[in-house]
Amino acid sequence: MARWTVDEPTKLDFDGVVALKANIVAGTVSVLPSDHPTLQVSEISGHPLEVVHEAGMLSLTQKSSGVEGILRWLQNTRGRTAITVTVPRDCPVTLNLVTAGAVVTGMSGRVSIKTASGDVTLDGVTGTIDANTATGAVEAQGLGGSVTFNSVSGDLALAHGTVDRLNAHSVSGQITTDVDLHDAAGVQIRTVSGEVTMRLPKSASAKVALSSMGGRIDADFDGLSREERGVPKSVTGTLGGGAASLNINSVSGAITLLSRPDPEALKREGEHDR
Amino acid sequence: MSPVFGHGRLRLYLLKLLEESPRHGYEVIRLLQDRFLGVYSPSPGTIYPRLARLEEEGLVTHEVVKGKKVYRLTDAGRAELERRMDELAELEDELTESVRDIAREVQEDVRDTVRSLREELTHAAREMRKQGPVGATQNFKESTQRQKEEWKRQRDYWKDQKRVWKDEWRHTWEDAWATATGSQDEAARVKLDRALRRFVEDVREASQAGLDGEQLTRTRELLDETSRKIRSEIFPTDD
Repeated sequence: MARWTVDEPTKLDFDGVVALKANIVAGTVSVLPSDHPTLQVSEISGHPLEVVHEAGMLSLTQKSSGVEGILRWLQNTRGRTAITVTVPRDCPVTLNLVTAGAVVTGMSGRVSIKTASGDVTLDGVTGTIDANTATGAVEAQGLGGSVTFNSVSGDLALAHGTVDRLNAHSVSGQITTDVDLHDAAGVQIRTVSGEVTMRLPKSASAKVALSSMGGRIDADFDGLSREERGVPKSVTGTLGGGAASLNINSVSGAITLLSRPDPEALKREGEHDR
Repeated sequence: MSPVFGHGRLRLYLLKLLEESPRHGYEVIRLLQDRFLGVYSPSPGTIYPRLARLEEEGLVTHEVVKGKKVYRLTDAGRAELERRMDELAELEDELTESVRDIAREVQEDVRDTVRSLREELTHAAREMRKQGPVGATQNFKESTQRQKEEWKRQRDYWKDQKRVWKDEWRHTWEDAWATATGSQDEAARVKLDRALRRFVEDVREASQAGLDGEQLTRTRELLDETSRKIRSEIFPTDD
């Protein structure tokens, strides 16, 4: 087991990392794929960062000293840690953050992120993504796997890419997506007052069910039928062969389903996911 | 896309990659992609002409293996690389440093993409509503049984969801505490502190409506007694 206590900007190299776990309060954590695992601490104030590399597991924790330390640590808004970690592409990543934000690119394993108020940026992540935030937003492009998003008021935006599965639950956060669906993909979105805007290729193949208690529902696809009377209002139907399933449900948030005319052009941009 | 390569540096880096081993063009592109964490993806249109230039200058040569051009360094190329070793070391250092910048660039890039996507979709939605065959929906205020059931279903669902979130966050915090304190004992102390704070909040809240002298005296007595009890019964000292 190797252990370091880092209290100033530094760079460390590691041999063989198979999993990454970081517990950071404030600042930023960036995770990038590379066959040469490294840790760069470019900024650190407040408590030192405890780095442990054991049996391939790399864990980074902003350590605190005793109870008093923790109370200060929880209130401490000035303490900031900015770290950049490179780990192998298929390495599972777990980030537990409080106000810290995260940037994750190109990972193909499981990516699990919890943050209260930090924003999460994902680029070209093809693994399974699990993001929980209270108020933090999740912004992503070129995703290729499955996405689970839970938030109270954080927004979710997915640009380009293709998803297998998307589960998004939010109270007041807006959900905006412009992705393709794999065959047999499942999409489940629920919000209370958050607006949901989803764009699918004109040629999408999915069973669609949109329903809202009080929000307006608009859909730019032929072949969907509308139930206006009573509550909930709904728009349902089957697009193409109905391979995927799409369920969007809101209490008062508006639901908008748009169509994208030229899937080829976007596919070219979506080459991020390999 | 990325400003990682200044003037002439891509050329130097290509020599370095070919010094390691003879490679064909696609392999060079793939290695560059890996080195730059997928952010800098040079196109064949960038790399092949440069390889051709290097060949003209006599620094590399190629042979065709299974229909593909495999480039290798010549002696002149090796000498050139040798001569610029310092510059190469500097470049390597900068590349390491630039990993951080890459992360920042990725963030900005994604933000830009998301921002323009939002604008585009907002615009598209407005256009659709303007000309849409499926226009605005009206709000029917029917008080049917079905409506009531639906409300109830929604409410129950979100109640459950809230509970799940609460649990989730408690776990996160407990994890954070446990890892931050590093020991069971200290984790327990944090919980104690939390309980104490909650107690203070409760009492404060209870007294919100009004507080006179007598209530204050009685509260004080109770607090003193409780404190005494906790000290003697739960944390007895030797003396």
